[in-house]
Amino acid sequence: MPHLDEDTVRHVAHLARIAITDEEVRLYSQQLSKILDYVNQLNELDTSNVPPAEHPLAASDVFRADVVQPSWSSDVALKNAPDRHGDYFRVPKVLDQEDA
Amino acid sequence: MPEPPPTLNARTMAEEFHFGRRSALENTREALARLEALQPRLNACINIYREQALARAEQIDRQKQDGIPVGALAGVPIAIKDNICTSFGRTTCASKILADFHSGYDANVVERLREAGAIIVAKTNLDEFAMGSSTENSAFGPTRNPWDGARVAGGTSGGSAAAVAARAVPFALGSDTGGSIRLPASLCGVVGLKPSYGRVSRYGLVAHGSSLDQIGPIATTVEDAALLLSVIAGHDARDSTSMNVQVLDYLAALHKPVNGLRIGVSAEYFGEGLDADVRAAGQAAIAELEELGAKVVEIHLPHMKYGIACYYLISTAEASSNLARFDGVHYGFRAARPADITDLYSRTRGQGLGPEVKRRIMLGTFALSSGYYDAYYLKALKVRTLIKRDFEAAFQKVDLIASPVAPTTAFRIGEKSRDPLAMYLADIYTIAANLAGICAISVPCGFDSKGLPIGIQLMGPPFAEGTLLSVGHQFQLRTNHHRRVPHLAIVQ
Repeated sequence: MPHLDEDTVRHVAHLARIAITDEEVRLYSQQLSKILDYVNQLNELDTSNVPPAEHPLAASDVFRADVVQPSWSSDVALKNAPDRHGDYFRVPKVLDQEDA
Repeated sequence: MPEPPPTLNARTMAEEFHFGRRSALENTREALARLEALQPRLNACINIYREQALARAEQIDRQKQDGIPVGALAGVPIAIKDNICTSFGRTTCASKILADFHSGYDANVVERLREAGAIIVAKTNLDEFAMGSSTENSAFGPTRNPWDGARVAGGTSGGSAAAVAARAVPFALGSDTGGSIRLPASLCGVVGLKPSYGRVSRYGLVAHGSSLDQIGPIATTVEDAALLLSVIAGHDARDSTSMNVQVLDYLAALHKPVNGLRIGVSAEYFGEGLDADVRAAGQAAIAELEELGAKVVEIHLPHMKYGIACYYLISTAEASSNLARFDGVHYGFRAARPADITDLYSRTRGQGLGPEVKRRIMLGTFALSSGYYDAYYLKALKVRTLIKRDFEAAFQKVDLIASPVAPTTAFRIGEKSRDPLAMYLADIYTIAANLAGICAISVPCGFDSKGLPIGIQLMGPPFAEGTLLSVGHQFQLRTNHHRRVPHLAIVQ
């Protein structure tokens, strides 16, 4: 029954790539701990022989033929680009990053 | 004292257009005028598309004049929740991060509506990324309930429900992940249907919980919900979860007899925590169905009480994955002067996403993270199986299940927004249908002592929408709750 302490909140925020303020760390720690306490009631149930339901209905391996079909032009694909450079989306350097 | 506006009926409007008695332009002008007049008091819309709608209406009128076939909804105005992509205008999901996003394509449901000749007049307000129960989590302000402006419209399809309840449009599209069509429908006194998972294509619906989401109709009458469903339902190859199941003639199904149908009622659903007026209205509705010849059968859904816990692990896990794409790289808001790529992602998301969205992404990320995955996410998936089995067992004994939609009527704006868990508990009756993938409808069944609407929920097995619609329709033939018009709909 882990209380979601502030270190864990910071770690999770980093995994989720969301910058949060110290105030938010405190608030989320409180709120998320309360929610986790609530969801812990699932442990009342013995699910040792129960398969997980990843899908609500039975459907699997829905494939289409591996045939090239028309897609978008670069202009459509880039129309909302915050920083467009020709046919590219420009971002700060990615390589040589410790932990991108 | 001005008269309340008439209750619009899409089916009638479609007929009147077909017989040349009303033009698409007249219908559209009327809808736009009402939406614009109501906007300051209700905030139902994020964008009202006056130019596009009028142009489309003119086009439809011309087509008709030229004898070119127009579709089943020709000339009828409709509003669409703003998490459904339209190739015109913006698709914001009520978020700062998509405040200026222009989709490059139409959702499948939008394509179908266009082909049917419907006129899209507005994109409606919602809780940001469809996360919430009240439409208070919108970056563009809350939507107010047309029955009491100090109260919520419910969420997350609050804008669509309010626009329909206020008689601005005869019907609208919403989306439902944990109750987001049915809850606002109930709180606003209109009909809302969540189709079975896989019934309606999710192509173009901005994903919240991919195993839970469905798009569905919101209307004043069950008949109009059936009409709209018949247009949007069907297989779509671009949604790999779209089921290739034949689409029933939902309008014909409205007349299937209720006599002899078995309706399941579970003590778990009518137990404590339910407001007295809501319980009374629900029980009266069930009595009405018995008058129609339905037989009430007691059933048990022992795992129902674990639904919220189960849902808030699965939906948040899925959301954490689905919302990873909002990172400032390809579209949407990007934080200024990022120091490096990580800073770009983190500050973009920190600034662009609202608190509830961030909370849920973090909860989901935690539930999936190393060391916690088995205890939380996997556990929730197993409980999901137990909930599904409860329904499967129940549907061996009954054709439908009746329950309340919400524990209360519309609460005040701000009343629950400080306590996330209190807000989550509003979904207690609606959530299981999404976990099990079954269909469910909310139909107006009464009002509380403050004059606020109450809905009754009917749930059916997968692809049994026809049964829900027939019972709902025949219930409406015998009752008048859906005909009452909220006073905030009255425009000078």
